[in-house]
Amino acid sequence: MKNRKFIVGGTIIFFILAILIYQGLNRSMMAYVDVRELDKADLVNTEVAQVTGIVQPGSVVQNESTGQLTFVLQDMEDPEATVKVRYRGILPDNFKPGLQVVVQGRIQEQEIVAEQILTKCPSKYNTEL
Amino acid sequence: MNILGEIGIKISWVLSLYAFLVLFLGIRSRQPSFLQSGYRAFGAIFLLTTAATGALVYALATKDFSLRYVAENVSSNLPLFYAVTALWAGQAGSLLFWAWLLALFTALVILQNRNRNEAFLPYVLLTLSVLQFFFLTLLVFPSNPFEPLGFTIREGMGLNPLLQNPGMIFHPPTLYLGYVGFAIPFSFAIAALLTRRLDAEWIRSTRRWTLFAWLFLSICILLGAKWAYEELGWGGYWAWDPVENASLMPWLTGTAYLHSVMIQERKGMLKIWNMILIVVTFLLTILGTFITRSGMISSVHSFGASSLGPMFLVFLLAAALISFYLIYTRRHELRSRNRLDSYLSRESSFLFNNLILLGATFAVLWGTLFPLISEAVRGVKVTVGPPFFNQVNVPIGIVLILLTGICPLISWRKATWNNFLRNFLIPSGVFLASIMALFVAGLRNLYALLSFSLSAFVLATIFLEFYRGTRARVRLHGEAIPVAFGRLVNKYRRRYGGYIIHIGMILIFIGITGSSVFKKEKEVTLRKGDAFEFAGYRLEFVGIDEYRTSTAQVAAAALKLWKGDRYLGLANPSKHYHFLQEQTMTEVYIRSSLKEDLYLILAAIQKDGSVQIKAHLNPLLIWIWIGGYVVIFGTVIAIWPSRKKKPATAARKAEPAETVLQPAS
Repeated sequence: MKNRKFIVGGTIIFFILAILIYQGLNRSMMAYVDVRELDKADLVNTEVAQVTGIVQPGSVVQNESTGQLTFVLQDMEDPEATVKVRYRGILPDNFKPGLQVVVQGRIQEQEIVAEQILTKCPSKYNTEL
Repeated sequence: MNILGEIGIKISWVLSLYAFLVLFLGIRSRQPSFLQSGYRAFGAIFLLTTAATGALVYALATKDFSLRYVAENVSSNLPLFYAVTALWAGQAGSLLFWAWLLALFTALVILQNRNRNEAFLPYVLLTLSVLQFFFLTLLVFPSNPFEPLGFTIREGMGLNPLLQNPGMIFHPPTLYLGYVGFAIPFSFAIAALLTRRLDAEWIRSTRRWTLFAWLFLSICILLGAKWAYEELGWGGYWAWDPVENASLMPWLTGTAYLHSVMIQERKGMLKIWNMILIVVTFLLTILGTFITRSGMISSVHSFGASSLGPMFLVFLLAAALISFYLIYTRRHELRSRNRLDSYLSRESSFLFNNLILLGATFAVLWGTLFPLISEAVRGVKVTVGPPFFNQVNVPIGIVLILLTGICPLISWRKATWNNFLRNFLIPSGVFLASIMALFVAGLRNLYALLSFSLSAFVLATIFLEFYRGTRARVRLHGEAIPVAFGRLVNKYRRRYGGYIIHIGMILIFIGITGSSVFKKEKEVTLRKGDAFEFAGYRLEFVGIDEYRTSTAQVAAAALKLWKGDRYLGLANPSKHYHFLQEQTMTEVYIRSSLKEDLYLILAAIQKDGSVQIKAHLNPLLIWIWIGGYVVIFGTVIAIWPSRKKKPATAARKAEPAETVLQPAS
């Protein structure tokens, strides 16, 4: 075989890479669901997940003394599907009621304890008129 | 003006189709007059797209709100500078700018190669005419920058305040320069495949174009990181967001390509590999546009779903199919004459470096597309976060640092013991000394230990090269040391420019390692007069300043800042409320030094007047930007045209001539 050295070396690198990717995936996979899919997704108390929805207008409550924020996350298509979110930490600048957000956190019974809240558009170029 | 712009785009669109047909016929019938007509069509396309771009810039500068694009992207109080640069703030303008760049580059290719590469040029232009036709089609149909608004308004939407930052203003054009730049070596590669002239000529003819594209893609990534760091206010500079990955992937494969072409130029090896690399790089630039524009992959950036997604996907698949078909049918001619003799050789180390870079690209691609893949296969959407990318890419990065030191200095064919002793003995000593010193100093993180000491190893190899080259000139020509050093670099720009780029990359690696391994965070709530200690700093909250600028209402926290006993002045992280966009922006306070960045965020102002402050300490972070400047400087040296008439042959002769400089080997 003419290029045996190449094939042997390449195969070794390929396998190391495959192992790295496999392990990396196992440790950092997160379900990404809409609010309405929460019930059937069976994520309660298991793992960190990302849930996307709209911050329900009028639901945002900030507790000044504890710094805790709560709001209701509403499904983008089905307004009936909602879930309560608890969060402590820094909010993105453009966080406001009515905006689509991605809440990353642990799902406990009927609420999400958020670790991070991402808004969908710090660099959205096209503001539709 | 507007109607002129629109007509200009439409005529260009027709002309690009005409150019394709006439070139095709010219190639088949060998009629020079047909080819000439094709070249002239490209000249006309360049003039017309220039006029169209000028018309849009004029409309933006004069704030002609009758155009939808102008109304959506500028406002009457926006400074002229930002109004003009709104050319690339939105989709339609970006595409026009893109088409104009492609027209400009095509015109330059014609000027450059008219008398040099007559056999290649028609095929190169044939490829470019297809690209140009695609982009002009987008401008004629779904994304017309001159679309009228249809109703009158007195005020436009204005430019997103987040984008009103010099770093962000120059980020998109550098991206386009990089992306469009890679289209040139790609079209030469396709021309080489079509003509079956598969020696290294197409590579030599496009070496500067490739470096140019790579340079601007590098600048783009750095500017994007710097902007994210200064404006987005989360304390970091890279989040492995799909849009960031979209620019990183072609950079990785482009880097691999820049290295592996040297093997083809010198040894006639890796021909198929180079073809695949440049095709993949080009496809990744198109994929990058697709990712950012289609909205199919959920990104924090999310540019808003647009109808362009499917068109880009079709174009991507068509380009991939044609390119790989051509490579497949010419696979026998792409076989190399030489083969790998030893694992310990320059050929192998370059190939290894290539495989590693490609591996990193694959991992990033996999992580980016994973939500799509998992939804298709398992029916659930699953995302992977930064931990995935870090876990895979950190070990890859460490191997890359090591290879940065080894690749340029290991012998061709088969490394000898002498070669090792000569080039790597002292650097290996530096490596061992630094790993021990760091361990004794208390550093226990394996990755950081390896990253820092391997960086020391690489820097030692490079300094040794500079030292030996300079010393040889001093001895041979009796020149003073600075003169000898300058002439050495000037004479072998490609080689020493490359070394300087490596120094820059090592500095970037040091910055990344320092700022990710040793970062610290603290969040505090402060009443007036409260103070807190953080990483050797002491901060005392004095009060809140409130004032108005022309566009925003500002609330800034004033904090007295001490480092140890030394008073450093007032720090003022703030919040800006922009009236027009009804948007609040957090402006962070950053105090940079060579050792560390102190980064303060005003998280919230409570009703009782207390403030919530988040402090980050990012050690060594400034070295990322310094390294970036060094990379740019090195690339400019490598790219700088030589005064000799035939740069291609000069480059070929450079390598053997350099061995003269190494009398000891």
